[in-house]
Amino acid sequence: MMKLWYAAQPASTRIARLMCYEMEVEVEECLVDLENENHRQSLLAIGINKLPALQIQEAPGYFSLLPDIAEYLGTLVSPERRLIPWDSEGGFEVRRWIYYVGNLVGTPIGLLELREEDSDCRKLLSGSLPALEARLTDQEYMAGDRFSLADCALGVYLAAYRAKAKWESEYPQLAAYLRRFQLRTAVRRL
Amino acid sequence: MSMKIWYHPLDISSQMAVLALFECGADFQACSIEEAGEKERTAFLKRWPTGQLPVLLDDNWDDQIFGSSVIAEYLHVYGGFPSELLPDDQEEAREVRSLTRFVATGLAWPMSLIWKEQLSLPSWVEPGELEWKLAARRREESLPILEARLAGRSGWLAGNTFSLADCQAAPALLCYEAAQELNPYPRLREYLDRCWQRPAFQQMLRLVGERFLRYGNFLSPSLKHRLRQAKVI
Repeated sequence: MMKLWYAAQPASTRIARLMCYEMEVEVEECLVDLENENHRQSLLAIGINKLPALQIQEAPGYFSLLPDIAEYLGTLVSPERRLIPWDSEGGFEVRRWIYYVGNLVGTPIGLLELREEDSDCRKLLSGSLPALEARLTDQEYMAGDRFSLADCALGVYLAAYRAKAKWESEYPQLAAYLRRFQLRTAVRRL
Repeated sequence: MSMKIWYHPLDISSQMAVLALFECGADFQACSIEEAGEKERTAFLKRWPTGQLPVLLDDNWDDQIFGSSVIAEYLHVYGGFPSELLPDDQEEAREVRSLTRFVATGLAWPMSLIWKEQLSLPSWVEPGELEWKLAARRREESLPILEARLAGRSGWLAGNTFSLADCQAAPALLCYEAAQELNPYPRLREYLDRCWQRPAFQQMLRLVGERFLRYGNFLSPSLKHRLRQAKVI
């Protein structure tokens, strides 16, 4: 049995759990309280110093970066359950949107979760979100017609951003996308 | 195919993307954001409002291709260039991508924070105390891991072939060496020596090397020596 070590924050730990639910992969979920010194020490004792961490019993070490987790879990499931397709063009499309969402949406929203106000982060978002709004005008998901890792990330980040700002009227496609995202069975398990 | 890359000569991600283009033998136009005229820069920002670099534009693709590893993936999938940056085998490619991300987050990102601060380069958001601590910790952890990985290898990070992971590591190590000696990591130093022998690495340096000159007082003696030897400066 694999173990997924996670904490309430940051958003990447929620995305990791969502990936497991979407792919229907069975993992033992281990919630860590990062404020608790005993929890932190226990994690360090088993060689884990960042979260999320997907620990595989038969192998040393662990996966922490989201695409690494997705790619590894993708080897365990059927092709239609993979969040990063194995074909070159499909894989490229998902990877380029993961990169976009991670760097231009996830990073500033993550910083806004830590900082009360940051005009630089808001400025970056006002540059990056319009392209996503336009993209979702004629397609359901970020990388085409199937749900992917880019959607796991974008949905979680948008939900986090809604707690920080009112943006739905400015980006109606993204607002509709977030509503669809939150109706997903896997998302409701979060 | 007509390709144009927007880059900043001192940005590690830009250096990686340019290195990948040279490694693939691609024919491309390099546009430094620093040297662009006001009109050109405004047009670029209109098309790409975040201004984040590097960005590749290709006549055959109707969208911007953003990010160094994505640009390398694009070249692999659509570029039609004979490149070994990513193996065809799915499992081997997974390992190369994972290693590339490890280098990106463990070495390239911390180095880019340090590098930008030392050179007083603009950053879209000022790193806070947390980011600095994280960057220092990641760099301290990643260098010994990469050093150990190279034990018994006379080639590259993922094996005998120069891969995407090496494209990521080489510019980050170059910037590390610019600030301090690599002597505590002899295998990484030898590895960087091998990178210097590659024509694509030298082409990349020729493109960005002019800008290194302006920071002559900041560069470590060993890097200055190497740059002179390679006739970059």
